[in-house]
Amino acid sequence: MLSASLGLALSIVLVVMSGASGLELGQHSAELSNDLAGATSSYDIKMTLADSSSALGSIEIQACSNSSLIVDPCQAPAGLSFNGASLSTQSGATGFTISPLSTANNLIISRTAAPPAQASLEYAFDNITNPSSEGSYFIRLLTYSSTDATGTPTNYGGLAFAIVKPVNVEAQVPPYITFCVGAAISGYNCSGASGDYIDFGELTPGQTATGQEQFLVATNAKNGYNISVSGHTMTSGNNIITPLNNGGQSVAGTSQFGLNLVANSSPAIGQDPSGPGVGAVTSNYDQPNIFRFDSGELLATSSAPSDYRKYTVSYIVNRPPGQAPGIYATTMTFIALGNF
Amino acid sequence: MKFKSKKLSRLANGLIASAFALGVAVPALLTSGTAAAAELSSSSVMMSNSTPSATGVTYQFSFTTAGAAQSMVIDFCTQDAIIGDSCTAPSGFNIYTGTSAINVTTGGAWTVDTTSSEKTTANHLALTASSSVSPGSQVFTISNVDNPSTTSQGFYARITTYTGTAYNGYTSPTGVGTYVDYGGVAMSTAAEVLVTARVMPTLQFCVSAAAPTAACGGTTTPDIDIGHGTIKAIDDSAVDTASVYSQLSTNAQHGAVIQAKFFPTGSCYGLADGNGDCINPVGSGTSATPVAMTAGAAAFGLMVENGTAISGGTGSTAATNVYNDGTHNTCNGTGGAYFNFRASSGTNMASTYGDEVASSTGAVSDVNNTYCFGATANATTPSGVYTADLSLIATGTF
Repeated sequence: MLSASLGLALSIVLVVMSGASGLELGQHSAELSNDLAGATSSYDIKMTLADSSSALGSIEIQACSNSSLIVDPCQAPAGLSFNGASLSTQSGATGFTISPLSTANNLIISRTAAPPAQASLEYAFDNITNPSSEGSYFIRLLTYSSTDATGTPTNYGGLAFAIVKPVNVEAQVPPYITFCVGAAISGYNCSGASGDYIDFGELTPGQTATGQEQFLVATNAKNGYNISVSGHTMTSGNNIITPLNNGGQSVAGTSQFGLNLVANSSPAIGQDPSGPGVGAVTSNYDQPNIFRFDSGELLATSSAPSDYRKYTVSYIVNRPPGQAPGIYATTMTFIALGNF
Repeated sequence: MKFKSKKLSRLANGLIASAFALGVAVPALLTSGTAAAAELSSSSVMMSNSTPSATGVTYQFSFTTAGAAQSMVIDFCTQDAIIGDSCTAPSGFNIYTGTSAINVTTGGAWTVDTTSSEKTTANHLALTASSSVSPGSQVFTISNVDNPSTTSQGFYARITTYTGTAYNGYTSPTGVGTYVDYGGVAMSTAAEVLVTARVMPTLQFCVSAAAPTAACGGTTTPDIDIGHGTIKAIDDSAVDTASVYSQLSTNAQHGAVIQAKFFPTGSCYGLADGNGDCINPVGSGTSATPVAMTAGAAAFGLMVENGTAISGGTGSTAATNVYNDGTHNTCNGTGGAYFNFRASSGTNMASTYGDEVASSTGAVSDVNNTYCFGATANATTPSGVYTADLSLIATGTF
């Protein structure tokens, strides 16, 4: 009578395969200075020996694309190369040099065999060429008593590292130039500009007529800005007021039309440039009490980007006693160019 | 019941191969005068370990008797389960090491007989009860048994029960006397089954402009453009932000660290236009904690959010307090985020191995981190296209 049930009791041993003799390393890691594909990188290898009493004569660092296990064949990661590696740092067990037995994906360091000074070891290598493709790769770490990475490993371990894409951050700063003109500008904002007309009133031989206006400029042009003036002297039909082409002081009773961009005392008019920006009045127009006008000349310049800079243009008009009557007028055009 | 020996042999041999942990009841032929004897039913032996030469093994017997009995003999033999047949002890098998060491225990009404003429020996188990045991289920164990030393060794237990405590004429396996019930169980040793599972170290790390889905799916090239407007640009009116993402999966038991490595352009440790112009790092690149960025105060910075597992993932990563102050960690340029970009002085993003931005304390799966970059320009920031090149590096400690 075979009524008894059939059962099985398997002795199951679940093993994380090491594929190597010796003891499995304690904490171990490989830190890369650059994890980009094909980059030249430093690798900082840290490991804690489980067997730190055995002589240590060599350490093998093997890079594989397929497996961290010694029982598996190692497929060299494409592009990875230890060939130019140099050992830049060593601690815990010192005296190592890179063995000539090393290959492109198998880096061996060796020394005279002796027990390590401590279980915690660190070795940094420079000039390693990373794998040429993004992905995960493996490093096998093995220590030997022999000096040529032969025999039974005393410690072993595996780890993984990743090659990734770079992060590229881009921000565009567009070019700009802000420029405004007004009879007056409050603050350093073009919204505060007002007026575009100057009335010198009735010109008389014994008194200098004055007027002023302002312009405000700001730009991120790398090489700054140039501001020039374009126009003609005051005219009334064929009659003109003589422009101060070479500059000069204001002399009442003569025929003069000129301007500058600084504070003056004779006559008391104008202001020096102000504001958080940079830039300066050109030498033809920066002398107090000296006025000049030559169409097309530069009035102010900056060689660098500038935040808001406010300039005050002061005009003087003088007329001789025999000046023909009429309505004298002119139009001034200020041109700001950013030097990007 | 009558059984032919050939049938018994075939059946037993067939079962030996597979029944190595649970003994299987096999028919046992009668060879002596036992006209009233009955065969045990539902008989089995359960072994705690079938490995050859294993020691300390427990055998649990279970069967049902048809008649009352007060003594019992179980002989362990290599040949067969036939009652009265010659018996060779399995090599290495031992249920009893001698007078000084009793390594057999029992359960129920039965106790080991170590004193009578039929006392227990290496392959012979003699049991008695203090009074007659009624018919029915009998379950008892013997422990500290040494298994046979031969792999795939088939062996048999021959069971006979007797009235009284004197085994009623039993003298040897071939002289079993007058028994009440009889039965046989087949057993076998077997090679230990070794199941191997490889668990390799893993570290999957990806960086993407889009939040990765499971297993680094859905990634896009991590090139981001910070700014606002139709043609994205930064200016002095806002702090603009843009994000990239990483996903980390690793079985590193001691955790993983994510570091940001910055590759400065010349002497610029922020956003550079390649023409010598620079949007400097916020906090002068030396701050130990995140700081606020103000629109119009040209600066470039990074805020790292804590990493969380996406659906199906496990674990988390914590951003370092250098890049996440625990409060201002919402990625926007209106005060939600404080930024940092430690790119000079001491350990920093431009140093050899970069600056730690986040870490886990153990293994994680599909944990996404968000890296929020912020930038603003001032009125004099030269126009141009400014860039910063970084890499995010994950290092597992296995």
